[in-house]
Amino acid sequence: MKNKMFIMLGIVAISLLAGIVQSQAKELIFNLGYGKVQVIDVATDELLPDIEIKGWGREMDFSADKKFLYVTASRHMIHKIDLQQMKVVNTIDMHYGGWQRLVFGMALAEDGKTAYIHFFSRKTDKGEAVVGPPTVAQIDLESGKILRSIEVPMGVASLQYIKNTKSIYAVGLDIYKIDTASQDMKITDTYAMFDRKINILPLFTYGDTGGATLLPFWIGETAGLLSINTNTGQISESMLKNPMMVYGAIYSPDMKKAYANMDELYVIDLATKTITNTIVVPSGTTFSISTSADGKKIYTQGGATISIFDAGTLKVVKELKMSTDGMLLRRITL
Amino acid sequence: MDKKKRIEALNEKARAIEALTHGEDRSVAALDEGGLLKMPVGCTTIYDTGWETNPRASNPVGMCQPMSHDYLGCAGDCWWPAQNPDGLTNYLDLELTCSSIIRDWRDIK
Repeated sequence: MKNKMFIMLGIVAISLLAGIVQSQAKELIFNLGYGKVQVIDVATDELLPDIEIKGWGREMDFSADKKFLYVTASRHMIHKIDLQQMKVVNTIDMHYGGWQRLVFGMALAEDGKTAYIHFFSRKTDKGEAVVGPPTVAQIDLESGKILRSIEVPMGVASLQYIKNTKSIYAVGLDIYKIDTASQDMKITDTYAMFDRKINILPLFTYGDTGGATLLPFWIGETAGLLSINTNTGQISESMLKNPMMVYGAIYSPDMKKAYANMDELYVIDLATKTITNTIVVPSGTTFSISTSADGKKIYTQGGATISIFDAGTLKVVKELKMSTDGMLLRRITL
Repeated sequence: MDKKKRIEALNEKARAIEALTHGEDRSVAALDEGGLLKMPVGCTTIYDTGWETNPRASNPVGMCQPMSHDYLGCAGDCWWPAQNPDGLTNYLDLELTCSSIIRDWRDIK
């Protein structure tokens, strides 16, 4: 009887603890803006205080321990934002040593101390312009020092870290698989796209959403979705039965649907590869898209407006007027 | 007729420029078809310019609508440098005067 009492008390305590942890979990969506990062509390859809940054934000990635957000700004700075303090605690500038390095693509390594970036470089030498080769480099996140690097083909605009294989996928004209496990980085495989006339827009990628990242593409007039499994590195393509013109796409949290956006917001059933619903975004063209973790809300960003849709009906439930235009939305649960 | 053959240096400055360039090889590879960089940094891999100028379902004339939604995105990355102040070379602190184009466009100088 006494044991039963203890077990019952234990269950109650665990339930209470779980409830407390759940109630403390905070779901946030970050909007990369100009001179600032704006933060939406998903529970209330209200804005939290702005995070001031230098430059214009372009890409972001959360550290694996969810303590920091790294933001590339003006294509040459990387800001480290403390997610408890909600402020920039360190900034590195990739313009050093006489070279200007313009960052197009960033993915954090699992060690929490380094990141992989893709950059173009340039400098002047005795009045002459010197352009360096496109490069993927592993850098120290505290100092910006380049630890190792590899030349890559022209056209890369985003990077994806693949956990299980410890490799980097550099997405450009093709997808270049870069092995990072050995001492020297090397391209071990190329996933062909350009020769197959796949037209892809690698700028608007939303990183790892539920273990995969989605990239919309076109072959001729047929739209498709390219999926990269961020754990295994497996790449798959789905040709859609309906046309759509979109900047970006994202999985629904249950991975059964995809949402894609530009002038319209599309709902795609991944089993049948068909567009099941679409709406013209009332506020105009949108760059970025995200969902709430429960899948009930969809967020699109265009200019200084973030539209929040009911995912079931695609009705706008709220419009947030931001103080900055934006580029990218990313969600995290802390 | 080849246009270049019809162009003739008429004044001292033009002749000086001709003399300067005589025998000179190309020194910048960017945008040169045979050089290191085969295409400018556009937003798509095949079309350049890309998505924005393609017709689409609700907006068949192309371009974002309102175009202000695309303005700072293009300015920052220099996709359409002729129309926008570019944030990579000439207007590095654009965000200080204009962080929202609809509100701040009058401040751009």
